[in-house]
Amino acid sequence: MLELRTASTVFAHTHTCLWRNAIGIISPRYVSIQVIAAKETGTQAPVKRIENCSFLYTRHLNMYFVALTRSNVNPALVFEYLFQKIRILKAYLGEEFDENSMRNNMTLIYELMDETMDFGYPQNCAVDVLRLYINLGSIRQQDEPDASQLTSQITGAIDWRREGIRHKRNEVYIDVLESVNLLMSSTGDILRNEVTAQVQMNTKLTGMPECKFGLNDKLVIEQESNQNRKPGVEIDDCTFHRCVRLGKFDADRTITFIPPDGEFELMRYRVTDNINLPFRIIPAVREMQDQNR
Amino acid sequence: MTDSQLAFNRVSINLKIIAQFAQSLFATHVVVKIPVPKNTAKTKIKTSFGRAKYEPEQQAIVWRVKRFPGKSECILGADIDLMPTVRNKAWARPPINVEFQVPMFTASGVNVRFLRVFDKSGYTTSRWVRYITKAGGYQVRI
Repeated sequence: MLELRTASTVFAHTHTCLWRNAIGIISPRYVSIQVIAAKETGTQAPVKRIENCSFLYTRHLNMYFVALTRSNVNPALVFEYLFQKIRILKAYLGEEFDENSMRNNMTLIYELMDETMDFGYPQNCAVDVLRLYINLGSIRQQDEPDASQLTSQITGAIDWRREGIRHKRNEVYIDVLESVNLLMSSTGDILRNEVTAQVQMNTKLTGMPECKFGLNDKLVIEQESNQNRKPGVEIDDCTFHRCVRLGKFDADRTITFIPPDGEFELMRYRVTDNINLPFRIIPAVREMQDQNR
Repeated sequence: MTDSQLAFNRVSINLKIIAQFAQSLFATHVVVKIPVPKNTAKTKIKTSFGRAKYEPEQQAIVWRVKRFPGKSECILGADIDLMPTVRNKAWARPPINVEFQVPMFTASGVNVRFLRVFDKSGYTTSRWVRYITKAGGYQVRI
């Protein structure tokens, strides 16, 4: 993989840093002409093939993050990595990091490249874990972890949470954020109506707690023999944070996980049936021709 | 008859908005954008509550209600005088767009039944659940 960044004035400034580059050096200038200059005019797809090599790129402010590959990889994986990379850099360098702050933190960026990517395979991208052993930039180390513990932490199955977290008060905040979409015709017919939602969590829990989360999911409530319950909601298209055990969810729709410490998005879902519209709007619009004027 | 004589020179809009959620709840940041023709000259707006005014840069009447109680309804009436235009193109009638936030309400009816936390040390966990429903694209054609 190769990371390349340029200022938006493409030709004036092209800067590359090659990192374990198995592809060979393709002129960065050529890339900027083919990929970035074309992007400036709009309409270009975020994947471009030049000389048998795929360029996948995304943008942060006026910087391009470009991944290169010669093999037939899953583009979603590559983009996820690029987005994670930008998220990590935001955590280290601030939300609005730019070319200058990247240049001033070159060593940090090399270290982060080293940890998040090995031989073209994405590795650990969890900021909370990275901050344990890379503590340059605005992220400072909170407490010194044990070196032996560190290895098992990074290579272990649960890389989003470290051992030995302590909180005086054990608290969990859950936010259910729903967004209603509605399109109603002028005659009052509903043309489109759905709810998309996120469940945000902020956990302050000690140790490695096992959590079980339950919504009034129709499928779960039907399983329970208890008849006098209110019927549940049909929940579609659930997607989860990677801490959730998907096997368990597929088997019996229970949501179990060991949460990361702090804020994270536990899940997203969509509901399309039986939506309670918060507002009803009844418009009457008349266009008139007034003769008196 | 010339084109300009055929043109409409007034538009009247009546709008009723009904909050269908429980009485104990209320919506905040309610913004209703009612599009008006480009050649709007003068508007006369009456509302039963909240504030509404014509915002030329948005080409719409923007009606803001800070706090909209549940099970209540609200009426807006607007009379719009149009300027005569040289080219008499029909008004496209873009949809009315509504923005709002309703705390402690879920449009889907989803609620959190439980969150159980098990840890070896067996501590108790306090938990807080908040709900909020926002408008994504909430549009009504006119």
